[in-house]
Amino acid sequence: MKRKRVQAAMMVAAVIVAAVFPLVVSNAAIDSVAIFTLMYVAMASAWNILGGFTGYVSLGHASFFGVGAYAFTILCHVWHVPGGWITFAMLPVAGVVAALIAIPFGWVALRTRKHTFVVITIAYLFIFQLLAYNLTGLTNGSAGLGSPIPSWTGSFFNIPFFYVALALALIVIAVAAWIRSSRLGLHLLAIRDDEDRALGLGIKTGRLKLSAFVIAALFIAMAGALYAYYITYVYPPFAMNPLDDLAMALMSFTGGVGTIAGPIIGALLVEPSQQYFTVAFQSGLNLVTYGGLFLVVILLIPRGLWPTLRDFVASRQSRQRVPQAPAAETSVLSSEGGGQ
Amino acid sequence: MNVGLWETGIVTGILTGGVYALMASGLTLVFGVLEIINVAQGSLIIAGAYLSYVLQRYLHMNIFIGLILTMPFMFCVGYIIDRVFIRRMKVDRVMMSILVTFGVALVIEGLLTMIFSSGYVHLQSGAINASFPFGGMRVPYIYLYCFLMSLVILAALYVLLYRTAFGRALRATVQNRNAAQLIGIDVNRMSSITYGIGAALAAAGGMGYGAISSFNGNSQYDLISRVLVIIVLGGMGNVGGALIAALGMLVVEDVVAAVWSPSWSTLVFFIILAATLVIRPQGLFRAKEARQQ
Amino acid sequence: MLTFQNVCVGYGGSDILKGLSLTVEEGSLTCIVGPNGAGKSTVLRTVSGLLKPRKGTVLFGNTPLNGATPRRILEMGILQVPQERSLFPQLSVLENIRLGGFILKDRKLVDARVEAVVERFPFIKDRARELAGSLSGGQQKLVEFARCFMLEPKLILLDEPSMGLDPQTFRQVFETVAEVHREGCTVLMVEQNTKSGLQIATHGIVMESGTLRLSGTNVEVLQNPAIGQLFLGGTLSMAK
Ligand SMILES: Nc1ncnc2c1ncn2[C@@H]1O[C@H](COP(=O)(O)OP(=O)(O)OP(=O)(O)O)[C@@H](O)[C@H]1O
Ligand SMILES: [Mg+2]
Repeated sequence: MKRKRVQAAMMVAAVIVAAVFPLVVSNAAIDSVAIFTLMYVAMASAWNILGGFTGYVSLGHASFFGVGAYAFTILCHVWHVPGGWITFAMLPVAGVVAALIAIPFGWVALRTRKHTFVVITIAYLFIFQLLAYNLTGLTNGSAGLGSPIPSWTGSFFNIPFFYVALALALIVIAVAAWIRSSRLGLHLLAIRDDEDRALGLGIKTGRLKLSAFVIAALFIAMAGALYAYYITYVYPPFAMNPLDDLAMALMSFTGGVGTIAGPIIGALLVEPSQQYFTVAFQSGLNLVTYGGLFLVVILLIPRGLWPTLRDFVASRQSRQRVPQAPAAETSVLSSEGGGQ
Repeated sequence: MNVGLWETGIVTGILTGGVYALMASGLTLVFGVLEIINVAQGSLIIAGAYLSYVLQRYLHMNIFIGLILTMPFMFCVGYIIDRVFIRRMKVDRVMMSILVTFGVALVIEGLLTMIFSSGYVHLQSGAINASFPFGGMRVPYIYLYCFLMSLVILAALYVLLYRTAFGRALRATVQNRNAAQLIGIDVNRMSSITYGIGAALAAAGGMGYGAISSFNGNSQYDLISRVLVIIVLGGMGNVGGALIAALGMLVVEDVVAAVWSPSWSTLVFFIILAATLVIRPQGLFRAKEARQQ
Repeated sequence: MLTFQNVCVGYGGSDILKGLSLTVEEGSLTCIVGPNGAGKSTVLRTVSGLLKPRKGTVLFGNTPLNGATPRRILEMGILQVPQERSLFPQLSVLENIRLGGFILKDRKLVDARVEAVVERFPFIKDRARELAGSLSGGQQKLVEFARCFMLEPKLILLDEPSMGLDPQTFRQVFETVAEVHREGCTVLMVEQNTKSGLQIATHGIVMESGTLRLSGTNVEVLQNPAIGQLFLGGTLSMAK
């Protein structure tokens, strides 16, 4: 119980720090990194609902980021939505469009088991990239499309985007936490542990997996739409970037896949460093650094920072008090979940 | 409809399909033995292409003869990658391997970009410019030579797998890793060698790819996605299936490109994958024998 | 012959064997019993070198097995028939048998051993060319067992040999085990079927949650009142 309270306090503190951040730091470049970081907090947390809870690692959800970006831009054109506050209302619309598109794609991919699933999701990214290039009537091909230009400018420019990104991140975290603590979450975890057994227990695995797939797509697409609005432009290589796929997985794994805090911590660490590498190093070296860092994290702390840290603290506490078995909360069906 | 276009599509499809079969056989073999999805295969292919490029550009070596150097070199690179990165993974190998090899792919891509910058390059050979007439178009000789090279290398692979004691041990490892260990097969060493073979096949495939199209470090994404599609269709771990899938897919792609439009041909590639999976989630051919228990 | 001293082993997470110590006498037929998940198979996997002890030592005679490769352990004459399927389903039965002699260099010797094995287990002859995966589960178990005789076993580890066998095959396996034992080979066997397992054994070991509960001759173990409780009044108390 005490741990819960500590976590809640940390959460509140983090939100307060985040809320005052742009008021204290007025450097536009830093604020922009902060906005991207919050977007990634949202995306990694959304990705984690599928990849972390069900164990179906998707390397194709960046396509829904792109779909969201395009849906936002195209619908704003079609409906003549001007740049302004009201434009933010288009984010959920773009999310829903992407979610609807995600349904058939998820259905096909989820007919296969975990490792084939990964491969197919990788293919999805390229399908969507090709579509973005080739459906010129809709996407204007490689030239891309301009999104509505916000009506505010200057030093205030970043502020609205920052708070919308923060709100999106908090919503996704709340949804993820709610799913994790609900029956749905328990069933998703059961799928991760042993899908056949879960099916045997009468869990409707197909429908649940698809829900997780679509929920992840919905929020990732909203982040994509926000991105398109923020940079006021969308074109194929930016909207459907394989590195984004990796980023979401990397952040979740760095922080601790399957946990709520993991993707948040991961995004807070990874995104700013990636932005830094891109600026600080020549092209090529940034990839080497990014990839190298990634390898170090995955190989040295395969369970991620948060679970490792938590167990470390727990084992220190239990050594001070009565010895007790380490909490096996990551696994529901078998006592040894095989490690994540 | 122009019959000549169809024929050309089929012929170039089969000829380039051979090169893809090389790349895919390495990937599917690695999946079979190591039980990992080696996302780094795309970057290894590009690394192989750049090696051929260096030998041809600076040592004026014929690209086919250059394979005598690039394949053993890439074998060693693969062996080392396995020793340093892949073998460390103990739990949840399939999932972790995707991330780890993606990281390896990024590092390789970064190194290639640092060394060669991001401009596109193309291998040179007399056979690239010379061509023979076929159907309504001319087919460069390089397509034919690459296909023949692929046939030779794949035949050698077949002999290695099915006619040697090493091959039997390797197939045993694919079928039951634990049992292989219990009869004294050093599965770790088998894994490193297999990863090395996969990289060597990538070197040959990369040479073929670089001779047929221009490339830079970034081309790995396009390659890995296609090659992955091929091995899923062929049944993951099934080398023969990968060959057939490679030929089939490239024929379809080239026919679509010839009779319809090149920009949609790659999409057809992926649509076939999706359609197949709806009907047969396990791929067209039987995947590697699922581990009992 | 085989000694565990304070051995701790796990699969990456927490330890499964928690400081286990036990001995297997030379020439004995020792049977390990214990509830599911007690770590019985883990003991055998540790002996075969598939798992490396995190702490403690495993001795074979006076040679420490820690750090030895599975191959080295095979060369010492320690063979295992694991609980899960261990044939290569896409290879023929005969190829499977041959592979039992994988570590032998001499091809003539392999040929001779194959013949000897076929003679000892005649049913192999009829199915030699079939794929191992096409045999029934019980037949596969027999082939796995037969494969051990491609080498000269000093210590055979059998993990639940009776699982899934019909009574006749079951008897056949147990008779062969007894026969091998009479020939001077030490046998360490894990058996769910506590009663029949302990009855053919000379020694028994009872394990629970990664630790040793009881050990002794089969009579001592069978008659120990504590083990009835361990099995919640199962087969053992009826055996008395
Ligand atoms: N490959 C593995 N990875 C992780 N944990 C494992 C693995 N194999 C076994 N375990 C764990 O080790 C413990 C002991 O397993 P073991 O197979 O040794 O039990 P056992 O006594 O043989 O049981 P059974 O009678 O069911 O065969 C179990 O809790 C199991 O969850
Ligand atoms: Mg067992």
